[in-house]
Amino acid sequence: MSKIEIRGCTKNYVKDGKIVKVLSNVNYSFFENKFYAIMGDSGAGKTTLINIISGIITPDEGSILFDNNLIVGKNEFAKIRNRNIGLVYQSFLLNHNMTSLENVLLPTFINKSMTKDEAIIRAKKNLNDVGLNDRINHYPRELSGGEQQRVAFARALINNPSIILADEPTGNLDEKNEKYIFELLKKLSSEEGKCVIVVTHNPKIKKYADIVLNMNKGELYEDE
Amino acid sequence: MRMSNLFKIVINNIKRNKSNFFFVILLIMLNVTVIVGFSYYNSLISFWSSMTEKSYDFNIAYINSSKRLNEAKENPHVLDIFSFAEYNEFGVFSDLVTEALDGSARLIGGIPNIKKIVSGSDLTIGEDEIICPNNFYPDSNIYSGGFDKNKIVNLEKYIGEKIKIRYLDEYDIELKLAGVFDASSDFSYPDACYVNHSTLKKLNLQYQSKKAEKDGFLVFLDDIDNINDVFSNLDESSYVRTTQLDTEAGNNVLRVISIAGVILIVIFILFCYAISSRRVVKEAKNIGILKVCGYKDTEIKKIFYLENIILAIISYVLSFVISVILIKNISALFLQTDPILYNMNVHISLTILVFEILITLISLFLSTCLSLKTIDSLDLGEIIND
Repeated sequence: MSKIEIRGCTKNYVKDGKIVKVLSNVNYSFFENKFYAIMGDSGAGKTTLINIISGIITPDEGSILFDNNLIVGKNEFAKIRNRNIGLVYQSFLLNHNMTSLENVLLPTFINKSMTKDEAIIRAKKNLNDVGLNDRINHYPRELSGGEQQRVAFARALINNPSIILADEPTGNLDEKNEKYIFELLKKLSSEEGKCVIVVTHNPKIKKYADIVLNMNKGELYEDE
Repeated sequence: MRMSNLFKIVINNIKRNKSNFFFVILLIMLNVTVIVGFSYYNSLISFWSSMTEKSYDFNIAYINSSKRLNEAKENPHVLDIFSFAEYNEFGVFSDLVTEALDGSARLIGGIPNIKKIVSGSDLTIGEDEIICPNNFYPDSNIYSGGFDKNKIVNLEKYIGEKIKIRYLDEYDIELKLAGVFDASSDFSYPDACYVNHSTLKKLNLQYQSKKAEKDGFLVFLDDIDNINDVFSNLDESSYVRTTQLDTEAGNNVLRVISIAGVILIVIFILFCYAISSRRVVKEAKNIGILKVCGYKDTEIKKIFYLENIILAIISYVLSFVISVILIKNISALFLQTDPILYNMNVHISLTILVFEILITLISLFLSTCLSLKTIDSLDLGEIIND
């Protein structure tokens, strides 16, 4: 059974009065315990695909299934994002008015299955796992790019999601941090059984990914 | 979302967001204006109302035709009837002369219980007595900007004594000072003293020029509004109230305050909407982060609502303190030169405070509600990937 399935997704944008096809009838199933890399040129539709899978944007046509269940509506997607999907972005997307710990705790505030104490323990553990034990009370402006991305990962993993979606997670990082992130993603898929989907330009990902997908002119296909 | 977590996010936002400071200042300015404005409005209304309720002269009307005299006789609403010679419709100005005082006073016909006596006793019917205000000011310059609070005279030491009054600039009369009354409870002129109606009638009959006689008569009613029960088919040109305060000017002031109040509230809603909308746009990235973390639109809106409510409460408390200080100082600075208003008690009533809370909360709710509609239309994809 697929973890997440895209069925017939199409997305168009209108630019200067012309329709731009970004996704064209994309169909694909993603499974647990696998590391997927989606590659392609700029403007190929990779980020749009990730945003549709996570429910950030809605497709013009098509649907998304999670554990074979059709996800309908913004609220249902919001719930899935909170409990089952961990999102990481190139821009880190941290709240600059909150400390590292508070940023990591953010998804737990609306997760009633976790008590306050459990959340804090888990958040500290996650930050420790990514090597930021001594940066708990630091604000994003006090952290390096690599450290900020690690905080973003710690947050993405706080509710123990089964899916990790990462959009150019190493785009702003140096080589050392880039390697760290790729190894972390590999560990999440191979050791923890998560479905990891990464969008990137970086060819080094091929060393880590189980399956490499290409996006070209709105279509998605496996790289031979 | 648990309330404690909601508060955590909100308090964090309040502490870190500098634009909240300007929001609070704006709220304070509005709240103070409304509290102070309405306090003065209410106090002025109450001040004037007390005067109209208690004033003897408001219940006296001049009927311009003596032929209607029979309609007034035996009517239960009519307390007394005088000929024109018995009543000087402009009141009486005389010099109040004693060892230490030299100034003018107005003598108005009164009845017991017309004023609140604070020292001595009230008028006794049939006695030639006078009661004076506790802020008596014997200076004819009072109405031409010459009022000086420091020249107020306390007449308490003369209670029980006979004081000489120069009446009609010619005659010296003696009246016993029965007591002094509280001039702060209604719209009392500080040079206006009250004598028994019968005393005034006697003085006018004795000294009033006979040339003053003209057609018509005066009626003293239990309530001026009963005049149409006494005289049938009485049009407004047939009678004149003997004493007319310039209520028209007062009504205009109150109208202006009411309209200004409404305009202020509308401006406040618009400002709140503008500031809230700006905050939503500024917070777009943080809203995006919350949505990525799985927050629903309703949960995000709760954060904004609670933030605005907390800011409103903070500003409200500060506004109350500032208003109390301001009211005291405004009265001290601006009203002290007015011979009547300086004595007016301005207070912040519970009604005003409750009304102010309601106005603030409703306005805040409306403006926040409108501005948060932009959350629904935020292009999340663009925000996240910016």
